[in-house]
This record gives sequence, C-alpha cells and structure tokens, in this order.
Amino acid sequence: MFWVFFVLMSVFLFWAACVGMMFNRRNLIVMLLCVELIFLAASLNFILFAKMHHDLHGQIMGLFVLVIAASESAIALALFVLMYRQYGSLDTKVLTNIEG
Amino acid sequence: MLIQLFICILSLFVVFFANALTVVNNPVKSVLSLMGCLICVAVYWLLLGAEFLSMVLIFVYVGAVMTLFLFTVMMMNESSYASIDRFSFFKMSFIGVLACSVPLFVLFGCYYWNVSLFSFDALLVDVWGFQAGHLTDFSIVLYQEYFWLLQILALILVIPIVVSVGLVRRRRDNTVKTQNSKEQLEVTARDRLSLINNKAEKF
Repeated sequence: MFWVFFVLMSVFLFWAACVGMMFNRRNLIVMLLCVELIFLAASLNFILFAKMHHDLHGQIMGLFVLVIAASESAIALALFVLMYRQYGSLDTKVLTNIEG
Repeated sequence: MLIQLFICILSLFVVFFANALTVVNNPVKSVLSLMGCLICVAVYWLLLGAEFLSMVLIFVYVGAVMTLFLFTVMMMNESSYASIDRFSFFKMSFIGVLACSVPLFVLFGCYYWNVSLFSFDALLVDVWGFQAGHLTDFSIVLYQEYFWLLQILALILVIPIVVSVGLVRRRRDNTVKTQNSKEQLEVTARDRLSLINNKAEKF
C-alpha cells in the first residue's frame, strides 16, 4: 500500500497550490508558481499510477505534462515582462483597466 | 526501515517547501521554494522508477525553467514586491490550517479504514539498483507508440520560443527613437537651418 502515501503527497501539493492561488491573488508570479505546483502534482500522480500498474504509458504522459508546463511558463513569463514594461508592476489590480 | 525514514524526511521537506511557496511574501523566495519542492519530487520519481523523468525534471526544469523564473523575478525589482500585502498573523494561521487540513483528513481516513501508509515493501524491490531495462523500455514505448505525438510536442516547444521573442522584441513607436536613413540622406542645407524674421518683444 505504499502508493497511498504518494497519493497523499500529491493531494497535498495540489491543495497547497490551490490555497496559494486563493491567497496570493494580487501577485501574478506567485500565481504562476502555484500553477506549476499543480502540474507537478498531476505528473506525480501519473508516474505513481504507472508504477502501480507496471505500465510505462503513465511515465510518458508525465513527460508530456512537463513539456506543456515548461511552454506555458515561458509564454507567461514573456507576458509578465510585457506587463511590467507597460504598467511598472505585476499587481493584478492594475489589470482592471484593460480594455478590449 | 531506512527507506521509510528517508521518504518521511523527504516528505517533510516537500510539505515545508510547498507551504513556504504559499506563505512567503518575497517572490524570489517563492521561486527558491518551488525549486526545493521540485528537487524533492524528483527524488520521489527516482524512487518510483522514473529515472529519466527525474533527471529531466532536475536538469531541464530546475536548471533552466526555474532559473528563467529567478532571473525574471529578480529583474522586476522592488516596485513589484511593494504591491504585495504582508500577511497578518490571522491570515497566515488560516492558510496553515487550510493547507494542513487535507493531509489530516487523509491520515484520519487511512487510520479509519486500516490502510497502512508507511509500508514501502513493494517499492524496495527496485529502489536501490537501477534496472537497465527501464530506460530502454521507456524509449521503445516513446519512439514506437508515441512517435508522432513526440514530434508534435517538439513543435509545441518551439511555439514559446517564437512567441516569447516576438512579444518581448515588439517595438513601441512612442518610446524607442531610431534613425531614418532615407530622411538623413535626402536632407538639404535649408532643412538644417531656417531663418525666421521675428520682431523683438518689449518687456
């Protein structure tokens, strides 16, 4: 039953990231870091269940999740740099005057 | 017994780093916490038999992506930190209770249904010796069954490069002053100096 422990850790990581998203709603960078933590929890689950079922497809899905997370963070960082140039801050409150 | 102790200590580190990521006010410290969390999870993956992925996580994710995060956060200095509220003691306590509630519920559930949390015997089979077949099997599955998906992923990885460079190098007309060589070549003496017949003002 070793997997229960890892599921517990995965749930904890996911939950900590959700709590972080809820309480750091003003800082975009911390929100992005919390999203990375959610991705990490998902990958941990994929690899854990791959180990449980002796199936390598789960590990490959973990690799795909890593790639998607890296792409997402690169694009988000570029947007943050632009936002910092435009507004001089990464506070979400300055985003309220965005117009379509 | 040794492996159980090791995993428990590692889990304590994971809990600490994940909580620090949430609670710490300084974004640089948050990024460093996430790096610590990633390294601990990479050790988890190593224990779970995913050696390749754990190395990818450390080399690519911690070594490249997180360093990019760190540079970006450090580049955006004090003015962005100033926008973050400092947590009050009550708020921090509430976050701590919320963050710890789920593991406590799960621990209680495991106790209630007699599920043993710390029996890692199944894990012990292939923890201490890497099985050479792991990486070979992984590569065979990756390049035979998921070959085209792998190519699509490579394309997806190219997109952020193009998008990031395109976004950041975008020129803004009102701030950047550049030379116009055509105007410079066509300039005449009259364009350089103009004489204005202006009456003197009386004070």
